[in-house]
Amino acid sequence: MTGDEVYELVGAALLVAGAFFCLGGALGLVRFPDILARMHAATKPQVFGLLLVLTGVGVSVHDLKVWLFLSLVMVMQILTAPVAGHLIGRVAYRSGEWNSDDLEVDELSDDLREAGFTRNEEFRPERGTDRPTRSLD
Amino acid sequence: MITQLLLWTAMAMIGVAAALTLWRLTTGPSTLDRIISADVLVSVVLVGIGLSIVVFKNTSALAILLVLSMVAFTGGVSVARLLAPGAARRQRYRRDDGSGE
Repeated sequence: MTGDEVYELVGAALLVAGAFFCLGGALGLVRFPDILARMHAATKPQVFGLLLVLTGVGVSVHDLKVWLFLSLVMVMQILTAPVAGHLIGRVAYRSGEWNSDDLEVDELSDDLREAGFTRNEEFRPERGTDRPTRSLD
Repeated sequence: MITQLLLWTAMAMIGVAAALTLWRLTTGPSTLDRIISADVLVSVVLVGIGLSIVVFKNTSALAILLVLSMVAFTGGVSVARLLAPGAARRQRYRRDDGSGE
C-alpha cells in the first residue's frame, strides 16, 4: 500500500463518518416529536458532519491550498450556523410549537415573566399542531 | 478497493439522508419544520459536493462549497424574521401593553 492509498483510505473513512452524521440528522428530523428536538438533530450534519467530511476531503487530497480553502469553509459554517439556529429557536419557542411535557428545564419562561411578558390568552398553536401547551401559572 | 466501498457507502448514506430530509420538507407540518429541513438539505448538499471532490479527484468545486457555506444561513434567518411578528394568536407571550415584543 503506497502513501497515497493510505491517505485516500483514511479520507474515505472520515467521509463515511460525516455521511453517517448526515443520516443520523435526517433520521432525527423525521422521528423527533417537535421543533426544538428536530433542531437538535438538524445541527449534526450542519456542523460536526460537515467538519468530518471536510477533514476527509483534506486528507484525501492532502494539498496545502485545499486545506486553506477547507478551513475557510469550516470557519464560515461554524460562524453562520448558530445565527440561523438562534433565530429559528426563538421563533419556535414564541410560537409555541413544542411539547412542554418533554422539557426538563424551561428557564426562558421564567425570564420572560420577569421581563414583563404575560401569557397570551388568545394564543393558538399553528394549524397542524395540536400539542398541549403549558400554562405559566 | 476498501476505499471505493467506503465511498459508495457514504454516497448511499447521503442519498437516504437527502430523501428523509425532503420528506420532512414536504410534510411539514409547520413552516419552521420546513425551514429547518431546508437548512439540513443545504448541509447535505455541502457534504455531497465534498464527496464529489474526492470521487472525481477534481478540486474546482471547492469554490461552490465556500459560497454555499457562506450564504446557507440567510434563508433560515429571513424566513424566521418574517414569521416573527405574526398575528396576535401566534405569539405565545406578549408585553402587558400589548405591543408584541
